[in-house]
Amino acid sequence: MKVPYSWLSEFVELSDVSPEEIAEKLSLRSVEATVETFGIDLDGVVFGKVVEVKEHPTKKKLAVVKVQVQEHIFIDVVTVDKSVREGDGVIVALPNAKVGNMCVTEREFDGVVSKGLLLSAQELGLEEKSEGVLKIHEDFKPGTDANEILGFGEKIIEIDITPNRGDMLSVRGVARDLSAIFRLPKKKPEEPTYEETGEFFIEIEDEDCKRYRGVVIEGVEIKESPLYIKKRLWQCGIKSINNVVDITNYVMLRDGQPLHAFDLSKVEGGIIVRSAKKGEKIITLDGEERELDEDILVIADREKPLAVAGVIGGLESGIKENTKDILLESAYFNPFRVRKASKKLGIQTESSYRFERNVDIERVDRAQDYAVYLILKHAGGKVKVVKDVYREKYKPKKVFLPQGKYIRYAGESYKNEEVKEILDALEIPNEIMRCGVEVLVPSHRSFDIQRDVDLIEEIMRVKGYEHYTSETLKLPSIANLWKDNLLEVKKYLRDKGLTEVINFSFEDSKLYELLNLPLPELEVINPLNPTQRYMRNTLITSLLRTAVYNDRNYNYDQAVFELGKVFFKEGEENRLGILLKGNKPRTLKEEKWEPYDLTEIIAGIFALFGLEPEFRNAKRNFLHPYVQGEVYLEGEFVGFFGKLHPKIAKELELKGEPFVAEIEIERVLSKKRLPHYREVAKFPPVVRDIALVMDKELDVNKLLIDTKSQIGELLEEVRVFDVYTGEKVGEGKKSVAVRLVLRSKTGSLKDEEANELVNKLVNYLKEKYGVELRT
Amino acid sequence: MEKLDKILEELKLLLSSVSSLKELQEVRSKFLGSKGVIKELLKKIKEVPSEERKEYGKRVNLLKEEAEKLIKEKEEELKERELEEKLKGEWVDLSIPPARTVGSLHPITVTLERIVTIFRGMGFEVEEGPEVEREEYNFDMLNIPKEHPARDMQDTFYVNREGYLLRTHTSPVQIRTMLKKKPPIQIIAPGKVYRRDDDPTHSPMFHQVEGLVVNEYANFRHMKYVIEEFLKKFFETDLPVRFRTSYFPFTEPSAEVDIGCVICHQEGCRVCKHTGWLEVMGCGMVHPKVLENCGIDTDFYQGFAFGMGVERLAMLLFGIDNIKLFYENDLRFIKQFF
Repeated sequence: MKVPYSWLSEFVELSDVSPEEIAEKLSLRSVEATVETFGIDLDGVVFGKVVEVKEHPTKKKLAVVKVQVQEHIFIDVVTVDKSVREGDGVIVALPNAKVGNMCVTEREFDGVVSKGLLLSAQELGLEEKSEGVLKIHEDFKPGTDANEILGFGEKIIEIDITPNRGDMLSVRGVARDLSAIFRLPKKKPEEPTYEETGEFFIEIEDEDCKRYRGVVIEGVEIKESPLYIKKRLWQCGIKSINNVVDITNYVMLRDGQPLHAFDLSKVEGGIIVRSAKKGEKIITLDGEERELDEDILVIADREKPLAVAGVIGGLESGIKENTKDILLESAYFNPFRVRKASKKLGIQTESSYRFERNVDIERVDRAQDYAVYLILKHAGGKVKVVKDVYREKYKPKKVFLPQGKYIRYAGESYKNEEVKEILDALEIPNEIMRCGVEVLVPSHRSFDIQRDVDLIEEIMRVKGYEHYTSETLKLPSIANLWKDNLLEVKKYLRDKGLTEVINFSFEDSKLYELLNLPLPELEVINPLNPTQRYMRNTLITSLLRTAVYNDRNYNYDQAVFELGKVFFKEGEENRLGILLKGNKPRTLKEEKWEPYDLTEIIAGIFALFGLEPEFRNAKRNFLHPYVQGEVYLEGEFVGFFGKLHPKIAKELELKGEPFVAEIEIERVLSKKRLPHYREVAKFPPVVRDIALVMDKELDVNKLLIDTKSQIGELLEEVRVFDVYTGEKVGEGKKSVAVRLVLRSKTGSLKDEEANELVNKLVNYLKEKYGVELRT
Repeated sequence: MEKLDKILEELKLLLSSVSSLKELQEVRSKFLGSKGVIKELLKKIKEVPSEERKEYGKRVNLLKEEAEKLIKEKEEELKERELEEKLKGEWVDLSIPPARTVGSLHPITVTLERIVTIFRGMGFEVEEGPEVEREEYNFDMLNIPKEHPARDMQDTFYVNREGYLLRTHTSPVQIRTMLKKKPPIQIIAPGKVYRRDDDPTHSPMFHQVEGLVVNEYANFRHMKYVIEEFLKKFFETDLPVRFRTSYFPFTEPSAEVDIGCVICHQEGCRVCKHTGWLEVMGCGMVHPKVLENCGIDTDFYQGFAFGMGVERLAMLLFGIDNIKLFYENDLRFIKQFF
């Protein structure tokens, strides 16, 4: 909201407090505020008086106007606005004048030289769109600087309120806060009042309207507003329409009460405030037809809705040029109800913005009376009816702030006089007591002052938070033994040469379809765009997205991981995804990532937590059918890995096929264990290397597991150190070289004992898997 | 006798031209071998007159010793040279810059760790909560009722699970923590959050760290201390900090925290919009309604909460000027962090 600095002085004695100081203090103690200067750059632009209007000799669409721009200087100006009449006051840009970014020069129009330019409100930057030249009906001396007339150069304080401070949405409200913050005396401008009179049908059918006051004024003359009103509206960024509408806006800005004026001739038999009926329609002031429903509160007559309560008026019942009699509405609507309508219809207006943030129910009448006063003054007419339907009068809530509570929150006490001064300035009726303060919450703060802490905030903010200096806080040591295991995993991978990426949790369906994976069950129902509809259920899609992006940016060598959530219909869990592609970082060498790099890295993660994974070969359609596997921990599936299927890599236009892996890291971490000491054997080991020939597709890991269980504790280590396929072992076979390290804890193992163990093992494996010892 | 001197001269001459151990072996056998010059000289002792024999023998022996010494010296010299040659052949240019074999952590992880480390040092525990959160925990229990304009402060993504949404802040972790344990509570909650906002300065997914202290005495001034300490440590400098009045439905009183612009040092720049100040955190005393919603007796307990955007802090710490960079995952960007 924009608040002209000069308007504030109608309510508060600003003395020498500058707009900049006001903005700074408001920002610290009330709501965010900045200062701007009103108006565009205007130089060489003056007030002029039209003394003669002639038709252009050749161009019918143009008029040649003689304008007095100084006591004895008259100039001819050509204009397209043929509504200009003798006696009109206009704003004239003289030759070489500067109007914003525009420079005005003399210009010839088919033989007539225009010695200047009559400016429109649009050209002056006052309104976004306007027709015709701006006419000034007030009398100024020709030659008066236009800056002075239009109030350009005045300081405007722009405030951005927090949702709790609806009371700041008026000049009056801002002035009130300033008087508290700067301890400045207030001014009490005169308040005209109009007593209830006459008869008019007003019925409130819905209790979300707590007060409705209607004033009927007959015989008004709809015309332009006086300059001072227009100027205020322009300064506040509101378009001038006509005197009556402008006055409703003017009073809204000044007092915070939205008002609405109806053309009485369009109101059939009185006012009913009710919920809209489903399917009911109204054409609103913006010319749109709106369909309403029961959630929306309307102002209706006996026949039809006239306005959406608190949001926007209807086009038909609006004030027109020929309107004679008006009904002026001033009301209080439930903020939530107004918000609902505003959301539903997708319209936010100055009115709905204020109603949603609560208006002062007790000012409904005074604000309206001020508007009535202005209408009578500037549009004429007579008050016929004043009717106020206000069944349940506002009852101020009592709130007591114990001093002890204040001390507990603020960390120090307060001075009685100071608190009194602050609350008085904020117009919060209060009584200082021995052990606290009791207040009656005034209607202008009924929304945000509910309990003692709200008063604490009022006192503290007005004093200024800088006043409450920091005090050392020593927290008791209650932190559990805590280790960020996920961070440990991340650091391990980083040390292994991998780089962490973080992708959005939202994913497109395309990648899932390409990989032939089930679409995520959890969907965002209001995504920002359709490609962000699914909450990912795997990290593989995210990593492929990263790979494609980096390939496109010529980063072909990628070793990346992501540790983040995947989502299910009910629940979510952290997963670890890995992608390796292109070359490994090696000095003076080009080496591609290999499948065993991936399994080594994965095994390392398990080792960090004292765990040993089991690798099995597997079949997943989106992976290379012969270069992939699964990871198991204590017999449970915990992940998969492999080379991306070349067909998919090609589809994604990736350079080369990446290795990918996904590990259910939470399941892994849940199994982590503490190291457990085992005795270190003193006796020498016996090492036996054997080569076994077996079917190519047999999982060697199965053999190793059996080896361990067969030999038992005498087996210290078993390791595959070579795998050979080729002619020598025959089609469909492979030769696996295994090293067995045998050692006893109780004495040196003899050769014969070792041989016997190995022979037994080989026989067992022969029988179970059909392997042959290669000699 | 002169002959003996000549032999020595000859040996020296020969040795000076020897360049390998093999040649040296030849010289050795020529002089010291079983049929060598010196053996021959010794054999000739019988031909020497008896009175000179003793002297002759002595001289020949001296010659032999001298010859052995010279050859030995030469041998060592040659061995040394040979090793030198061998090592030379093993020359490796270690001035070549090695490949970078360590990877990088994402700048958000780096920043999060920094934040968490500072707060853990102050005695805070880390708590986490789900990213798909109950609407009740994200809004209602935090004193943000439906139809309250405060809901406009955070545009929300809803999901196809009744009563759930993508959390708009990490504040629901406060609720979860207070529902599950009794004060004293001193936690921070780091994590991902989501808002329906995508423009040059907003990302629909970002990270927050929220803090909560609930005990019998934590007051506004304590809160200022914790925040000031944190900021001092985070930026490793004693920068100006100010607290501005603000509004959050779940705190009262509420404040916004500004730091003196770390880019221009309050001279005025684009980043601080020429104000000299940067908004970095929100904070306030926990609203009693929130405590009550979690069954905490407000006659005995009170506390404060604060929250910060991790991207914002990372941008200020590392001088990153575009929030979009975080989630594009261009490796040239991420690899600048560690």
